[in-house]
Amino acid sequence: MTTSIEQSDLELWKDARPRTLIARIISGLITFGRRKPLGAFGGILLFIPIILSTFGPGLNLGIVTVPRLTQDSEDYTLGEGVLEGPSSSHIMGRDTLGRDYFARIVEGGRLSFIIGWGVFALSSVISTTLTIVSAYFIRSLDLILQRGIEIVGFLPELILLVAIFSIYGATPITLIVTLGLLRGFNSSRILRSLVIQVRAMPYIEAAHMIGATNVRVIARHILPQVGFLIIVTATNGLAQAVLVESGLAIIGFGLDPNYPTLGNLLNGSRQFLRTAPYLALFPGLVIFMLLLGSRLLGDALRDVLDPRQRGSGR
Amino acid sequence: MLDYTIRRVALLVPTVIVGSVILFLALRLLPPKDFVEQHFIANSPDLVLSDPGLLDRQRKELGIYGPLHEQYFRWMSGFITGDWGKSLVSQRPISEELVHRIPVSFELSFIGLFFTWVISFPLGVIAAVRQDRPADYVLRTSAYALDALPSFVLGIFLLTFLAVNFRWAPPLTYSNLWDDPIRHAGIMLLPTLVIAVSSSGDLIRLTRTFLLEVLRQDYIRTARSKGLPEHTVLLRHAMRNIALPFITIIGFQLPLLLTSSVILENLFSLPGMGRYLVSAAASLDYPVVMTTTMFFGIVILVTQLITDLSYAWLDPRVSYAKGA
Repeated sequence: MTTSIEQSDLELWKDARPRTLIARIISGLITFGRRKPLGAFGGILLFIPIILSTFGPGLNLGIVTVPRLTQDSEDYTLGEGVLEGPSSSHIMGRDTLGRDYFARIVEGGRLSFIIGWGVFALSSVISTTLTIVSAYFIRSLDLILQRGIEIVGFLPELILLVAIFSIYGATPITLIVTLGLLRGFNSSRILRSLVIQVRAMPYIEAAHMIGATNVRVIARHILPQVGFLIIVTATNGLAQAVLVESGLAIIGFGLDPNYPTLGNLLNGSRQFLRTAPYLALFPGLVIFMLLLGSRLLGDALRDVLDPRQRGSGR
Repeated sequence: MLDYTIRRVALLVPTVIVGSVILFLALRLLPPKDFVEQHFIANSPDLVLSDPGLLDRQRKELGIYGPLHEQYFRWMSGFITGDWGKSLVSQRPISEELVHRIPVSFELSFIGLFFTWVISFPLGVIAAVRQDRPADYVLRTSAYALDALPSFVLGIFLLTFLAVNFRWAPPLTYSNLWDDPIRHAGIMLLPTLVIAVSSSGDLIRLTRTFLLEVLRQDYIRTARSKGLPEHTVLLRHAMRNIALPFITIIGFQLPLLLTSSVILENLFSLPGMGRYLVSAAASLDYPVVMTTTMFFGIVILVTQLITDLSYAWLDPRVSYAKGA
């Protein structure tokens, strides 16, 4: 009798699917990894620097300890080990003041990621609101808005940033606001065509006929369709922020020259290309890693989440 | 067709006006409101202290007096007639300085674009023709990776490589095309190559996609079934049909290149528009900043216009659809 109970229990467990949220997230990730190995690889490339930068300094990973960023003179001896190449104690070598380069790179990522998330948040809010208001609600507003967005779309990002930095100063907030606004306006164009397509669908009309309020229709039908695009943009947005910031740093408009952002590190390495090439190689590699990772991840996510692809999604 | 052209050109004027108003307001209303004061106090405070009438004279010269809309009209009318004011830093007319720099940026972008196409187009065709074979995979993967590498990172890597292995650094002085063609070519070679390689990633994949789409068409099947040799099918029938999307792509690439050339100009010390803008912004030389930004905007608008028009010119369907 005991045996039969155990057997039937076993059969029940065989069909069990992950129920708790964490289990579902993990199994979702594993499925994603299996179906889109490139995307998973991209995700890893992208998230390693993020995690390192967030939890970074002081973390002991067994193989390598992420060193603390040494700003205070008590932590390092000025001039000791200036411009040493990569060694076993300092995996990325030391910079012009003898500080550990790996620590500086890890620390530098933080600001870039904060900016990236900030731009993403701002631009998502702006683009979603704009799109929904213009495409869903008011016709006349839509036309005017579209003209305006076209005009804004013509303005070159980098040039505008330089111009605005010359007035406001090169602070992270200025960068986030400017980029967020520009990107928000630009993305709303893409979103708009999606929203218009979805709005024309019969089930929207049906929903209205049953008496669904506009809010409900938007929330339950339109937003999910648009949502995936926002997620894909998010993964790109992070790396793009790094790109813009490092580009600005190279022309001399970087944020806070004392802070070791990737761009600043790259810019500072230009004097030492011959004597200490690793100063330029490492930040460049990290930037490349981030961009490649976000691209791979974004493409894979788009393939998986696009509701128009038959047989995909969950 | 003609009225479509006229409409598009006519549309340019209000766009420029609106854009210039926005730019003007943005740069004048934001703090600090008085950039003359800001500039001189930042750069030459002793001059300000010794000469009390200096700031007022400068303001009069630059036309920054009176109500805001008056200032705007003064500036705008000056801009249109070619009087672009003087740089605060060098005290020379901006038009003079800009005239020397515009060709540099344009040359960089155009030649860079040219090299991009020279590299990407054949490779894209190869990838399309040998679809799903090893060559295709190799090309696609490297194109994908290249796409993720920004031009200035590639530029720095290249400079590092040259510095370490050949002890070479880019020359600090610039040579005109007319003064010293060989040296000029040497100076321009590296940056244009960097542009070409870093932009080719995207273009190879695009060429491949477009060509594949065209090759799927019925008229290609007809051509093949007529017994035409494959290279004729490719060259005479397939190529013509990808011309259109490619023009749009070029139209997108050019403004993009012009604005991103700012960074490369800095890396390779080329005296172009972008660098002019950046150094002006750094020294708070606001007249230059305003004028150059305005100029950038106009160049981009005109490029877009030309692209649209050439698109309409080549594809009659477009102008009918939009003209009505």
